[in-house]
Amino acid sequence: MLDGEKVNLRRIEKADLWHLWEWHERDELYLFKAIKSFVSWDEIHDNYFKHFAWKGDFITQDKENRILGICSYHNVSWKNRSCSLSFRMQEGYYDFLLSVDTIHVLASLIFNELNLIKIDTFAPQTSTFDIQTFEKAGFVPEGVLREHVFRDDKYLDMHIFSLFREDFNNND
Amino acid sequence: MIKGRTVNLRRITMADLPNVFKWWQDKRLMKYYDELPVHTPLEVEHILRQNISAADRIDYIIETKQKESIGRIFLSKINLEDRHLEIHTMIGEKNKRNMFFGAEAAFLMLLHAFHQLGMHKVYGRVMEYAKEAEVLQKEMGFIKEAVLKKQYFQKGQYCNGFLYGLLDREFEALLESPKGQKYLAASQSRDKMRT
Repeated sequence: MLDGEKVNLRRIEKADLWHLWEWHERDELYLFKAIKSFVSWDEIHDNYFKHFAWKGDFITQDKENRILGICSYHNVSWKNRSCSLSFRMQEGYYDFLLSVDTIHVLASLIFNELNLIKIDTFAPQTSTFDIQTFEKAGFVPEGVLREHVFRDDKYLDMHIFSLFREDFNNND
Repeated sequence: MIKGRTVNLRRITMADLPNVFKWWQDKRLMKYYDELPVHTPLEVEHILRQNISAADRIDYIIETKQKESIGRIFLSKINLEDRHLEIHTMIGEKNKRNMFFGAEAAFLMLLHAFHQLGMHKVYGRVMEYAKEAEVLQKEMGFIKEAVLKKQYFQKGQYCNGFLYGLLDREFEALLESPKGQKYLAASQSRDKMRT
């Protein structure tokens, strides 16, 4: 368990699957992108170890153990000592105190335990909550990938942000 | 096989292993690619097999009209939902490293990506010191979209990377331009000669 001021992060367990599947059915959950849309409960349940074996996937929960969302680090490059980060909060928990603390806890793990030096992340232009969370967490814009993803019948720009260890620790 | 005026592109096979291995040993060449040093033919064979069977990637060998293999070009991270992919070009043979072969190979590959695979966007990443690769991207109409700070660790230090993108409508505009017409005429003249 990784402890933050407002949230805790813990690994995804089988007991979480029903909750995650219901959420996946309700919204488009991009951490499940590899599973694709309209996945059945049987499929997600039977392939738990295939889809959730990655040790970088976490449940974000509050101090009362309520599930607030999920977050993940992935695409680790040990050569360049970098990785990507994603997060998603459930509807009703779009609160910067919670989302920024989630990023902070995960970034602490990435920089201070995994010894990586750079985190990059992506957010579509329409995800203003995600973009503002990254800005508040100290991420710096690196560019805009034009018309990079297709959502709801149109192509959207994708914003790239990065955070370096020295900047994170200086602001810590 | 995709045929052009000075080069052809054909799908890579395991028979290309000796050439791929040879190019991979060229330190001057590999400093432009974000790859770990690979030392044994067995490791390269393993990577080649993985690449050939990957669902989101297509690898081609660039060869001259005399069927001399001179480099590789490949499309990776093929995303069929968002309709984008990443392009990589590598001229392995030292005496063939000029704009001519690389530019025609890239043009043929873009034509394939947009007109055959129906992509909306093609993007490419280059290291900041890979000036020739950057010129090639600009020659094909790519637009710089991002500066990736300290993205690559090479030769004991970090260097920035640039991400360039080309949309389908921008590629069509290139085809309409005199430069694009020149490239297009070269590839089409090859088709006429074949028929």
